[in-house]
Amino acid sequence: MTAYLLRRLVWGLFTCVAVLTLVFALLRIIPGDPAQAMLGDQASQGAIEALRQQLGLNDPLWQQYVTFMSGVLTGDFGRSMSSGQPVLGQILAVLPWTLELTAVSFLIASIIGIPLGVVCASRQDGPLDQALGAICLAGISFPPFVSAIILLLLFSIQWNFFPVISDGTGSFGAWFGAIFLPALNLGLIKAAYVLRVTRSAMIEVMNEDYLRTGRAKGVSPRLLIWRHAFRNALLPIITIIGVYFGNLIGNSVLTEIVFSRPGLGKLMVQSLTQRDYTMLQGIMIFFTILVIVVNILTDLAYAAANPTVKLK
Amino acid sequence: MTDTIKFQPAGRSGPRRFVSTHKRATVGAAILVFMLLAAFVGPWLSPYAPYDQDVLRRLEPPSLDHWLGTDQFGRDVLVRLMVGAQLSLLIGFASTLFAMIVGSALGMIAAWHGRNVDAVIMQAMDVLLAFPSLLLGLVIVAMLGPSVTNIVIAIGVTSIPIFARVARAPTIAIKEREYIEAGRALGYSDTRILGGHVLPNMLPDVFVMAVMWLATAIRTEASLAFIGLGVRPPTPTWGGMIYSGFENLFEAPHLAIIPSIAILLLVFSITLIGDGLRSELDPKLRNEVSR
Repeated sequence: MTAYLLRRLVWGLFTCVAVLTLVFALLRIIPGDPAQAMLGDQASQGAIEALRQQLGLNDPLWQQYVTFMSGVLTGDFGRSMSSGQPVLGQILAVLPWTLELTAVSFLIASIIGIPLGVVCASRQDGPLDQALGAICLAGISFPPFVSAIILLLLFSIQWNFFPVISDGTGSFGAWFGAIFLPALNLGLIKAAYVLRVTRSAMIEVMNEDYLRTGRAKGVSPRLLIWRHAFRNALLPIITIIGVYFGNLIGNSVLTEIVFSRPGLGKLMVQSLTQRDYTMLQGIMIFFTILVIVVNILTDLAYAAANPTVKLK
Repeated sequence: MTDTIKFQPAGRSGPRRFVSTHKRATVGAAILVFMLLAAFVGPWLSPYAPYDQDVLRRLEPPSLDHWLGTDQFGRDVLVRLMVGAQLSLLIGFASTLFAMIVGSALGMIAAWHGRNVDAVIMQAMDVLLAFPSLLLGLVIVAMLGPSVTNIVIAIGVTSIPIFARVARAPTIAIKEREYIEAGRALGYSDTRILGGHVLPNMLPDVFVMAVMWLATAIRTEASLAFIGLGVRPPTPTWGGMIYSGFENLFEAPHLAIIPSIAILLLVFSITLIGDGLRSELDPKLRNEVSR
């Protein structure tokens, strides 16, 4: 277990270094002068030179690389080109909003997706299974901003159930009103994935010999499904949560934009319109490290959920 | 997977059997054909041009003159939608093709050479996979500039690892087979064996994955355009249309809804086809996840 953990950590570290190198390279393989690209066509020669100096673009490449890497290591992601504030601080300031949204949407996805997936598997190819299967395909097809706009139109503008824009502070009601629609939007799309995985995992498990033995022994179908089959089907479900984490981040970004919710998505779009490349680079580094950490955690959860898993 | 024996009910074969056993995929294909026709024939039939502005008729709801209404510049939404479809389809197909070719080549080379080559290539794929794909696409487009080629590259790059994985697994299995050894004994070059004998055997897997990813690619293009990184206005893109409709959501909700439905239909139809093809390829995989 310890050896496995170590290996995973080393792998994660290696991936981080590789990704950081890629991010570093990305800024430097742009055709032309990055400073020019950042400042636009109308920039004066002096401004470009000043920016080159600030970004350290006049230093030799290896020195730039060392500065960049040691900066990341010490938590210095550089300063935002538009506000002058440290990038990391700005990211951490909006992070709770995004994490909160992600967590609540995961909850919604699990509450909807897992039980329905189990039901589908136990009534395989029945009318309910067929119908839910089609609905899932539709759910997977929804670009997140499309479903977000539809929810916003219906629940906030047409029926006035929820405020169009809210900072979600003051009371539980306000918090709920602000988070419900965005989380529902992400949760429903995610639920489609969770349902499909749960269903196929359950079907796989239900063909196992020990379940037939259970049935022959007269274990009640409910007990058989939830206690005997479901626990083993849990593994792929956990994996899927990790695998789609990166996907979920992209979806959160789009959802935050539609619902005008503060968070990493809004920060990112803001830095895009302001051509704030250091901020973009910082967000990218941050997200990537987050994804790698989640991947490692997923592996560990996988091991914890099933002690028979031989950690290789 | 390549060894599966396919059973066919007596009396039915080929496309007809596919239609009867895959109703969903057939529905998907019908929608897709309709959309292709609308995209490439529709604009010729429309009395309007996608860039014609009519300032007196801004933000009009659907009417007999403008079947799907007009946008904030008084342009006909229907013709813009149809021209926008061309772009969505073009970018979707091109980026998927790009990822399919580069990804499968990398996967095959990794599996064929094994050991270090395999380790390096697949590790690189893992690294690429660690980036949230929308973010990676976004950064690439933001840096290179939003032209069709750059968007194709950005979306394509994010899906290369998937194809590398899909191509790698069957290659590993196939390369141990006798006929490959026979090829080697006959002195065939690696390229000839890979291209002529390995590739055809795994093409179905790669192709099905390509259909599934086509849906994702179209969705990603729309997402990029929605964020403001699509092909520059006034060129119509669906994501861009949804975004400008979103800005006028209170006055003219149809501007956001109509392209939303279009995109949903297109992605849904391709997903249906991909799902059907996949279950045809391997019944065990039915209803497994796709991204």
